[in-house]
Amino acid sequence: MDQTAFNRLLARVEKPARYIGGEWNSIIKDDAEVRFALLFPDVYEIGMSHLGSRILYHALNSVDGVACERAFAPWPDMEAALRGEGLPLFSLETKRPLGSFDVLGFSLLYEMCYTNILQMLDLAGVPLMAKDRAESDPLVICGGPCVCNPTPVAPFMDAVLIGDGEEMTLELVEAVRRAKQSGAGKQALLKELSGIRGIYVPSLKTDETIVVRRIVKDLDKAPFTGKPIVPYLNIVHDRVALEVMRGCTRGCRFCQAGYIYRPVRERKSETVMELARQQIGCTGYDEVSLLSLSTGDYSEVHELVPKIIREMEAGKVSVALPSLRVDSELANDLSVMQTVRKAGLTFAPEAGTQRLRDVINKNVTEEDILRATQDAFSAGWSSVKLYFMIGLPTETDEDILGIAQLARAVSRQFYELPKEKRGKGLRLNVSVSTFVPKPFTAFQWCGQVPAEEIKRKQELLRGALKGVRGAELNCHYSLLSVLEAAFSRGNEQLAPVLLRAYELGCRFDAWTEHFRPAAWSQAFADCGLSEETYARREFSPEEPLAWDFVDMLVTKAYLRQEYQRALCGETTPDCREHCNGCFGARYETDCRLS
Amino acid sequence: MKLIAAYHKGREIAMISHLDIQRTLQRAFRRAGLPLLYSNGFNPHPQLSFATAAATGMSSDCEWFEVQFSEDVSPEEFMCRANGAMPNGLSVSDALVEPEGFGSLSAKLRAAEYRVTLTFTEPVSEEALRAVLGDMLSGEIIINKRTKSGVRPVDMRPYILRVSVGPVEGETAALFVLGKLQADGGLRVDAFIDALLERLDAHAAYEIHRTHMYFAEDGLLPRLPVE
Repeated sequence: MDQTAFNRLLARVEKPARYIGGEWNSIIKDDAEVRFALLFPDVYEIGMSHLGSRILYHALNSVDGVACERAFAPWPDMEAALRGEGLPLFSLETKRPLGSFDVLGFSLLYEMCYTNILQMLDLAGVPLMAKDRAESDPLVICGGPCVCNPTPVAPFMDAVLIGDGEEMTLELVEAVRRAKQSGAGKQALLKELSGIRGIYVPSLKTDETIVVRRIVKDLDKAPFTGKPIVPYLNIVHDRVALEVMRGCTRGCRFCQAGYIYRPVRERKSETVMELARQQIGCTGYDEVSLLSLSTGDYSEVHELVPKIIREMEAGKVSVALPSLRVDSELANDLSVMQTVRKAGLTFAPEAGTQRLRDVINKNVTEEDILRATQDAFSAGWSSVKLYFMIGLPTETDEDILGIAQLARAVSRQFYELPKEKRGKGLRLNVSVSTFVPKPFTAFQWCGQVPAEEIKRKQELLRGALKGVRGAELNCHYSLLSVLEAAFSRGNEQLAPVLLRAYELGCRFDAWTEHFRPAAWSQAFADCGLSEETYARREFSPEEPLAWDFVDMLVTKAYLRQEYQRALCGETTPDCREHCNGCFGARYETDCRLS
Repeated sequence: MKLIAAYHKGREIAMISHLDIQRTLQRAFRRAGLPLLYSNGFNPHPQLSFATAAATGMSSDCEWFEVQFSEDVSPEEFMCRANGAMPNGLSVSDALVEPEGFGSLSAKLRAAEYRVTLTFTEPVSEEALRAVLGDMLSGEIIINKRTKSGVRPVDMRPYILRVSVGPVEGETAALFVLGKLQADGGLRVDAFIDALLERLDAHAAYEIHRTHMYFAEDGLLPRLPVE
């Protein structure tokens, strides 16, 4: 397509910058032996904010003869424009139709993007089901946290990459290159891929199949994002993102990330500093964000944080520190942070009472929370967000009322400060979401609390929060969390449901304006299933689970034990203090902490 | 110190919005290691101001802007360093030192010239195009302008200084439009072309390219050609 025709197409859509490409630091290779399309089943602004995709983009493009290009799910206006013109979905770098790539690789970060996988394959002209694809069709693969239970998407995939992608994806690409050179067919290629640790080939699955998660051992040696692309468009995380640590040692029992990214691995503070300088230099960004599941637990946090803030400040670069935990020793760092912008602070007590926090192993006390908010208020913050979940296992009304009591205590704390020592008005955002049980957590056996009960709990909380000064409750009931629960602990029976939902027009389900609950219910019903039943399924700890053939390193026996401890309200200490043996005997050596 | 400079916006990035271009220039200047002067205050931002916005969809040879530095930077050095850090389709095409007390570019802006490339759905005759244009320019050209208080009819004729017809070949035609462009308003070239197509009773896709910006007085910057 020439520039005139392309601009004409773009003139028909909202935010044309989503499809233009050519951003600073994007990589165009005219010749390549293997072309890999890195696909994100959501819009550009979301997909470009995903650090993992940026790491893979750099890692793949660093290989001679391999070209990695990007494509994102086209917003419905662009989908209509493409269909209207009979045009296939194309890559941003070279505007090649996706069907002409050797590999199409999806990043799956949340279940509610699954219909967009089908939308993108469909617009690429690639058969949706793996079994319907020809030799000449691209190899369709996926990876990301969702694929620890790959079963609902497995029938659409030729291969699924489970675990850290940096090394595994490169090994896959080399296998593809060799297969192209030797003229080996897809069957032979799939056979070879199934021998790579971390790669699951659904078509070759037998009763004996066990897929062991892949991990990268040394982050200091692992590839990072190289020279990150600088988008024209204002994306969701529009800044330099530096991963300081992967994994988390806390062991919160509801948290999938906490289990599936073990063991904890850190980047050295000097590596992070070096990356910060290099990436600010080559992007021109004025903000750096330190990413991890729990930055407060990073062993060099008190050295790194003040240092990076000071050095960056000199170049008019601010530093964002998301995921700092309540019980981190914040006070000193907070006083340094005064010099930077006072964005809101988020604390995540997760549950309203100590009893329930013990059940979920969120080892944070009310004192910890109040000390942290006190520090924040004294340091001038006046906007605080408290994050909770409702519908947790063993929850009672007392736990719900406990949320309101905690909010009241935080509010009182703010207004008890002398007027001249506190910020203007308190903005206390009490954010409450619905608990979704996830595979590979201690709560993988638990069913989701039914919709009516969640709504009742929400109303109970709303009433209890009345009169708490400055508090604002942020909780919505949505069928979305039911679907999320159905798919996260789903099985292959859900693949036809996905297909049906896609046919019924479901796309961008995580976007309120596009979410179509009625169509979803119909899709389930048309397949003889019910989303509510799926979400509520309770499993006995002895029965086999759909995702048992995936070995995420943390053993099922350990999760079972954690579930039992949860029911007894027994906490499990942070494993930096003491190895809890979560990997069992087989992979002990994969964890340097054990 | 202040520099006055112009950037070029190529067709490949015509669909990028002004706000996005603004951010892109700031980041390019930071990458280039230029000593940008920042505003004081809580949320410091580089001092960069534009004569006018470049509309989404329009390409341009001449988007004038002012940029402030904390140290002396010569126009040559600025152009050289900035252009080493620009994404495809964007470049600084001119730069000069802004004299003390110069005032703002946007206040001095008077007019701009555009090249409009039209692609009709059917072959078009030059005579018909000239005739309709001549007729159009001899009276009022009322368009419905959308404002905050609703839709309001506006005569755009006073904003049009000159229109000439360029090469016409088969389905394609070029127009050169000189229109007023000031801080308080200016010619909406797209609205004018839409009105023209309506009178021609023809359908065409078109691309607008700003070729010149003209400013009042001084002599430093391009001035409106004498009629």
